[in-house]
Amino acid sequence: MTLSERIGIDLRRRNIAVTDCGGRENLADYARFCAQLGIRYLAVMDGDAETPAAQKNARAAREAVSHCGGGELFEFPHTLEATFGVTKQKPSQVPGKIEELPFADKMPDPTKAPAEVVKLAEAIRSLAG
Amino acid sequence: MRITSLSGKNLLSFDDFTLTLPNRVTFAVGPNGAGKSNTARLLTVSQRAIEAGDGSSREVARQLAAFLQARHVGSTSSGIEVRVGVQLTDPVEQALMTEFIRAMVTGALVGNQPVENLTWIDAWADAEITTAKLQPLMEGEIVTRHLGTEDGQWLCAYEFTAPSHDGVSRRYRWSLLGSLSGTIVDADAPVSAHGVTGGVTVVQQYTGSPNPPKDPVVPVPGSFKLLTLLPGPRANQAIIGCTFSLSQYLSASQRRFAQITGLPLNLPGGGRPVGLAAVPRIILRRALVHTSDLRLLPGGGTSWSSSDLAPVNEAEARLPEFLMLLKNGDPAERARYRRVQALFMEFTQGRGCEVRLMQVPQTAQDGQPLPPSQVPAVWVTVSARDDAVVVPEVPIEFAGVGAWEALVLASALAEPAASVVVLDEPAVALHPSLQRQLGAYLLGAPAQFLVITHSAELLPLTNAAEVQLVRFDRDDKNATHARAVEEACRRKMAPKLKAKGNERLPFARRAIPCEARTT
Repeated sequence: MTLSERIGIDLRRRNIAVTDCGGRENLADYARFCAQLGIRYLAVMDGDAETPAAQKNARAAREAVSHCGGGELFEFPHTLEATFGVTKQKPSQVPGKIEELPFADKMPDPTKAPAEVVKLAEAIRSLAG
Repeated sequence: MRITSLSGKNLLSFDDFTLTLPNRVTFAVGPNGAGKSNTARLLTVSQRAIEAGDGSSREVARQLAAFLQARHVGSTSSGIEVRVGVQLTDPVEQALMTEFIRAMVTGALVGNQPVENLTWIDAWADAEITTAKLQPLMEGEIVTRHLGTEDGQWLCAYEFTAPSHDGVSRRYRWSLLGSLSGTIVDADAPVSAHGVTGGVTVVQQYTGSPNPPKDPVVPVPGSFKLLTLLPGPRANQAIIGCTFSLSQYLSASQRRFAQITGLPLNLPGGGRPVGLAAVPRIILRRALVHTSDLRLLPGGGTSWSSSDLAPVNEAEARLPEFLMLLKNGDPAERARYRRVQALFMEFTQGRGCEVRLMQVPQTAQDGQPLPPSQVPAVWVTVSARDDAVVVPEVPIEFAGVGAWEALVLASALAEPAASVVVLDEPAVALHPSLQRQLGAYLLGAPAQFLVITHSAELLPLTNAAEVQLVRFDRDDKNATHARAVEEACRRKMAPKLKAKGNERLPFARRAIPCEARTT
């Protein structure tokens, strides 16, 4: 199950496109493209950039969002998988973890769910409007 | 012709809107009600005003009545303004503009009288009034305005920029419609509500006398300069009477202009003055094709008789009848008919179409029964091409809605002089593969296209030049606004969107671009 489903937002019905950008290096271009078209966006990025190239791409994404406006950047402290306590090699386990999260009033329970998941859920809700 | 921009103020969904069209193909996307089709309607406003130019104000008011009622709710001003930026790119269009200026100037020189040295005047006009000298007139804006008051009138003008008397480029307004019709003023020093007080006629500019010459021999002017036709920058200065009459004594350029435009010659009293409106009117009729003009369902054949063979204009003729005219027309029209067939085959991937005259039972009218008889009706039939199976022709209304859509598109795109084509949701009834076929065709065709679409299949995610992607939406004042993607960004993103299957992103209301996984 996806986080948006759990918070009761049907992304498809609301015409919110979730796009796989194919790597951190493309995130800045996607943000710029959305901003130029006036499509409000929430860019989602892992915070595990270690190599100089990865750090450069992360910086470019931050700068693009900040410079172009029209959207926000959500950055996991480390990785999506780490947030849910699974290894990076097993992202397929994340939906199961989302399903196990304690929810209250269609939002992750802030006392039990990881803080970044609560923040992401709030950001998605805000984006959906 | 190229359309360079479309602007609308206080009209339809527009508060203060401008869309620039720097590229040959513009794809307009955005949600329903955003104002995409309204953008094409700005062209309709201009075209209707131009059609009525030099005509009666009552006819203009009738033609544009609906637009006066459709003022933008919440707009701060009551006046309506529509601007259509145009560029006369075709040599035929430039020649028409040049011929108008020659006809106007020679008309002023000669007056409505027999002149012994008319051949010299004609030779002077042909040699001196050239397209090269008139270049500033080849690009401008058709401006249609209404004050928005109940007693207000529609005004229409052609605005262009030209070097002024002090050498600085200034914007000039040549009125085409309204009480100042045929007047050129400095657009930034407009005439007051009291009208033109410093008006100088074209005759006066060339002869020094406000009245047409009376001598049988007219002095041949020196070098022609466009500046002679432009007023000074002071308020209320104007060049007036920038028209000509198709009188009994015509110059060569007046004859040529009448021939090109189809204006009648030798009307009693010289007929109505011919104004500049005739130039954009002919150019727009020739160059602009809007598929909504052709989108008329056939509905069981169209009753037809020889008296219907003279429609007011092509857009008003129903499509089957129009195709019948082409099929039985002159060689150029027959070639155009074959082009419609070829494009139909291309868009439908191998199906053929034919327009035929068939006999159908006459229908009763006004409840009055008629004796049983057969009347001719125009039918469009569609055939499939299949070597193995003989597939009979069927009337187009039984061939699927897509076949009709393809016929509308083929008819619009087969117009050889069409240099600006507006396709309003052309993909509605087409299969995705046909949409892609159409999208690819648009990229290769020579005309300028404004394509309004909700289809990702039609949107060619290509890094080809000459393509613009614009997204329409409403702002916080509920007014239409449009955002274009920068050329570099579009070219960079096209392959990226395609590679990851994100072609629908330009149609999204919101987006969540993720680094990689989309859990």
